[in-house]
Amino acid sequence: MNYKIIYKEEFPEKLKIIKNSPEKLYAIGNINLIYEKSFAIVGSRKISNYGIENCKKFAKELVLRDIPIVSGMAIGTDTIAHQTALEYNGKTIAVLGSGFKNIYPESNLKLFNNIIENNGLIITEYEENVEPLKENFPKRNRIITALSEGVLVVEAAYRSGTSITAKNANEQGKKVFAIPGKIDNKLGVGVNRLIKEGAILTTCIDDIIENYDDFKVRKRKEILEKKIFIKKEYRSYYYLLKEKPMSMDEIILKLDIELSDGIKIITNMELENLIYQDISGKYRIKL
Amino acid sequence: MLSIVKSIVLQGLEGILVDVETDISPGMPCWEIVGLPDANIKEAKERVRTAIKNCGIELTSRKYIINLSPASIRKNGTSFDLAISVGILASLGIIKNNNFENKIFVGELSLDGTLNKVNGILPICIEATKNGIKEIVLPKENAKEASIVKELKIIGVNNLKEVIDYLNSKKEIESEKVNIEELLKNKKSVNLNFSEVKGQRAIKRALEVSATGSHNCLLIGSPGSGKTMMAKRLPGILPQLTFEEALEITKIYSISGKLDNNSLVFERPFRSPHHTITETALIGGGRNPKPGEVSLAHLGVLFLDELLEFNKNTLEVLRIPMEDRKVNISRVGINISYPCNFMLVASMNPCPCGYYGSIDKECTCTENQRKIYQSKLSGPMIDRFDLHIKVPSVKYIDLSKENEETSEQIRERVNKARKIQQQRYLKEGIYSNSELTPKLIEKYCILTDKANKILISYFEKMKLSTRSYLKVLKVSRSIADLSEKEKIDENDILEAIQYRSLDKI
Amino acid sequence: MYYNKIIGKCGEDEAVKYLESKGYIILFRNYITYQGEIDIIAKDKQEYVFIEVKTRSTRNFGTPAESVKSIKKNHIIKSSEYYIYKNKLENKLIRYDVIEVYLKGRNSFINHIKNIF
Repeated sequence: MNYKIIYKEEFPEKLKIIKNSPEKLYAIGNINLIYEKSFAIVGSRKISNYGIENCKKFAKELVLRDIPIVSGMAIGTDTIAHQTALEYNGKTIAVLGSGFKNIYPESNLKLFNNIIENNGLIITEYEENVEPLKENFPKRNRIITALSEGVLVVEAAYRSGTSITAKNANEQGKKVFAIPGKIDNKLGVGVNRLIKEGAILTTCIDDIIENYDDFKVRKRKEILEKKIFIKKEYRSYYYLLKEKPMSMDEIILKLDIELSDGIKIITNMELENLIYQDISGKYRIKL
Repeated sequence: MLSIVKSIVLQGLEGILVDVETDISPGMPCWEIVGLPDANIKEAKERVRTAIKNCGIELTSRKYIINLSPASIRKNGTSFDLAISVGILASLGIIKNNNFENKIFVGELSLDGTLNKVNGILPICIEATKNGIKEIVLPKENAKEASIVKELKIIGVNNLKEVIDYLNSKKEIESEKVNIEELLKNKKSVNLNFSEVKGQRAIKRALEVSATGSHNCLLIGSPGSGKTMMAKRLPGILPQLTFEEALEITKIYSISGKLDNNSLVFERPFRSPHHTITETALIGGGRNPKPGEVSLAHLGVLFLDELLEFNKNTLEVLRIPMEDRKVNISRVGINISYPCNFMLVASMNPCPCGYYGSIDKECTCTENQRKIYQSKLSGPMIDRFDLHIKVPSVKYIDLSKENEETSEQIRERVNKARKIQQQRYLKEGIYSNSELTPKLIEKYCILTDKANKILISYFEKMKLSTRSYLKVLKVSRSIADLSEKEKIDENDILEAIQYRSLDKI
Repeated sequence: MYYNKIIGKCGEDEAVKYLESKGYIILFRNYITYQGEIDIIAKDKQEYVFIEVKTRSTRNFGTPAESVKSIKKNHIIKSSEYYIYKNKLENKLIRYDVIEVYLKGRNSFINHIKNIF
């Protein structure tokens, strides 16, 4: 594994000045990213569909404004944040809670490689053999907030690592943004509490952007749609499912067609890898 | 004096004619029943003595020896009470008529002489006719069931006294009769109807295809998506039972004591055992081997709700009965087999909490939990099913306002397609597409060129096993039969592929 | 004990008187074997009858016949087996009876239970 060591002298100011600044950082990938103005997205490991939609939305908007996304490469919110950044050809920094030889979770090995291959950065203060011990994770959050101009909390349960992240952000003088959650939902309790304690209630990207002069002036890139040529007979189906995943019944109802035609076209589209059926029976566009 | 009275002992669904020989002689008083009686029959001694006494007949002190011949076959059940008492009364001269050549006597006695009903009357009657018996004397409660067998004179009696009077020609009893055609005619309408299920047209179509070829299917969906409701309505769209099929099912239910209304079974059975069921209860067994759930589902549907909650070992025992379409049970000295030709339908949730993709509730499982849960579905288990259908949950408001199709309408199409199959396989010894062997598939599943291309590319892309490939062909054969086509075209193949959702994960 | 013995002998005498009045022929009284004792062996037409006599004065409790069942059944049968063997009665008609005798003053009340087994 070819990693570089960044010593304290080389740290950007924002990292040097924090309480308990790390001695050194191990890094793989595009080291220059730590000097850029970035933004952090954090949240719970268990993420609801609502949380997933929001995380994607905000990550996309940030990355289209050329703002690198910092997160912890944990399951759930972090993973979605990183993946969305890569999807829109953006930059992302992942701060690990272990050494490079112990990527956690294992299922994110692919993501780890993707980030490096797409000009991203992976850093950790832990030497390569260090295991992903429980206590490492809250600690690494201070580095996430240090590198960022602010942090967005997507979802959080009552007792979660994100409250520690919020605390770190506060101590470092960074703004904390939170998306309000459902009041009776486990994953809404944490975020709502943060808002009560002073985090900024966020419902759209502007709520974040307007707090940063630097971000305000950035122009939003136009998204280049992937050039997929959709056959004429599939088009109405494709755009229908693009809007919202649907079951076969819903499809034939909306498009006012016979079941037999629906089955024929949908199966063909599945065979051509344009769509797939998720475990709940709804058809979705393959990205 | 020696008397011989006939009865029948059941071994599985078959029976053996038994001669109940009674000899009364002087000497040390005793009561012996010999001929391998089981505990129930040994107890008959007490019941018979008391019942006879309570008819006002005094039993003098004698040596009573009763032999159940052939003596080398085990006898079981309580149905021998009547034959034994008649034998004793005949030997004592109280029943004057000794001509029992073409009669059999079946029934359990209460202490006051009342005749109680017994299980398995229908197989007993059928066995009786095979042995040249013309008349059966049995408990009144059993008469209705027995009357299905037209070749037999059915004498239903309430108590021992009536039997004595009847045999002494002091009382006339009419043979019990039933009009089978009348009975069968009245059962055209379907009880649990698909018209009661709103929407879910895609799933109904999938079930129609399953019913057509008698294909086993797996339903995956959240609670409330309607899987159980639709599974219950499956027997209603299967072809109606022929008289012979109804008889087969009735026999099984008769010996299990599960005959509702003591009459012919008209509808295909729907059995839904709980997932804590034991192996014996599932495939049959016990000391006096009784049919299991698989046999109770014979010619009907066996529904395993919450498939993944079932013990893996318990499911494993299903394998051979499903292949053989019968269950073989061995006991000391005898081999019994019960038929079990059923359609297997199972349901499962998409994730541990069940609500992934549900409209009403949010899924509370982690990605990991979901993965572990899905891996519980082993390869061999998935292989049992020809179709895997994902059942989405739907909001009622989304559904169209059209009137829903009735089960009768769906059944008509299934019937037509089944007839095509029966014609086609007349010489092959099978009755539905699900039974096709690889050799027969080659013979009868001819594809159009386009269809062939699609199948091959699907096979290669998904890196499928030969098993899956053959299943797709079987299902497509049923789909083609529904539109009465000889050759299987690309639409049929596409639809069959649609029902293989677990191949694509 | 002595009192009961007298009562018992009294009862047996009453029983014999009763049986003879019914046309029974008394074959043996107090037949003793290693297995036990049979109070009366009599013949009723063609049947050989082994009889156990139970006597009670009205002072005592319980019906006499009840006490026969539990302990004595086997003894009676075993004892009778020996008599049957000795006298070659294997193919003859055989019966076991109990006679209850209730004594009251000079009067007695007989309850003859035939064929107890």
